[in-house]
Amino acid sequence: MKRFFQWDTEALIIVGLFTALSKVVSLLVALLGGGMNPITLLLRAGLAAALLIVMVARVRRFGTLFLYTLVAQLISFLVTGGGMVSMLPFMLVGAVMSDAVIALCGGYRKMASAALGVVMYEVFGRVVTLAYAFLMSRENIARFGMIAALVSFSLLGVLFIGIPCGIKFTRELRHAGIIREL
Amino acid sequence: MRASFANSESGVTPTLDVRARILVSLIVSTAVLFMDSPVALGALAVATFLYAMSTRRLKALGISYLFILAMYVTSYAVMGGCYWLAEIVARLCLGPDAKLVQTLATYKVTLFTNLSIPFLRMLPMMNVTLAIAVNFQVQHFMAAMRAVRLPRVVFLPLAVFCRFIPEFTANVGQLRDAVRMRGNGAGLRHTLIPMFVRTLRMGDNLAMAAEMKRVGCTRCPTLLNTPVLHARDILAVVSVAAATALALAVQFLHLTGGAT
Repeated sequence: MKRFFQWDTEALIIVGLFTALSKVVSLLVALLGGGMNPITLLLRAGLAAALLIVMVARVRRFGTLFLYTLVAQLISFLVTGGGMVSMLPFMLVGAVMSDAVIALCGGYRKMASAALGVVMYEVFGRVVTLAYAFLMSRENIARFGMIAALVSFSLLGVLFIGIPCGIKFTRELRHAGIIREL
Repeated sequence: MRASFANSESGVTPTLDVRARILVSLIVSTAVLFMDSPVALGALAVATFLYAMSTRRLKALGISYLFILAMYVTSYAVMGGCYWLAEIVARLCLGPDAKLVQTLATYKVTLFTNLSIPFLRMLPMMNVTLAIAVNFQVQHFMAAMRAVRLPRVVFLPLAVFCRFIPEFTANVGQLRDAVRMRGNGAGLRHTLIPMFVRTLRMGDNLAMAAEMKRVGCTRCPTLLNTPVLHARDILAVVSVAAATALALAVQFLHLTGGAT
């Protein structure tokens, strides 16, 4: 438990860098892809998941996803005035659960457990988003249906683009010696 | 990093304390959470625009506004196109009197207003973020964060985030040149893998630099410039807070006006 609160500088810097990369790449994809459309949605979700797998493989510490969520949400709140603040506690719980899944399924040295943890993180995040959306627009079920369709569609991007790309990128970076042996 | 994000010391905002600038951002970001009236958001956008103008970084401000405008135009065009296409398909499949066709037609009409509100919400945030970004120095930022006793686990990634943006712009330029030299089309693999490599290498370099500067040590290092709150900082915070309160009052009046 003590180690959970004692992060070395390198791990903190990597988490900060990947948070920034994730935000910038999402913004660029949204701009170049022409706003909110299905292709942009798939690409954004996929790239975010791929980045998460690379980050988890690089940092290899319990609480990486928790810290990532905390920093990303804090930046969203400060920079874009993001309305996800009310969901932050639930997202943090989801991040800790995903970290626990990685730790229990073989640890951060196994690619499969890292991928499983990221999938769980993304699925939990979407479940929380949908629950929040239902709470906010329960009077308008048609609108909720549209949100549910979009969120489910972005999950396809995570499963079919993000996870394979993340595993491939991690292997390439490991081959190049940038990421230590998993 | 580069000596500073921007080296101009002219204007009022660049000389403001980092804590004051972050507090302003915090006030505005909290306020926009509760706003959905175009009038209130517009008023807040104007107030924060004046605040951002005090940095005298007109070029950066102009580029940012063009960026937002480009995002709005592309989003409007794509969403409008999607609704138009969906309406035609629904009309052909279900007939012109179907409920879905009418719903899509309504969405098409209200698209301009519906899209305007998120973008109007972005404008005040962009203005206050720009005021933080200009003349950003990691040393000042970290000293200010230490002064407010924020844990290292939170402020170090935040500092790295702010430090990353100008470096990323330089990296993108180098990657573009590299792809041009290769003569091939830039595939996902040829752009993302070098980006990851550069990011991770940058992380290693930053970690080494941080260790050299004793960032990770338990004892607080001696500061070159101790952060001090001046009267102008308090004045700036109070002014923006007053403008935000005014915008919230407009929002409240708009709500009650809508209810009656």
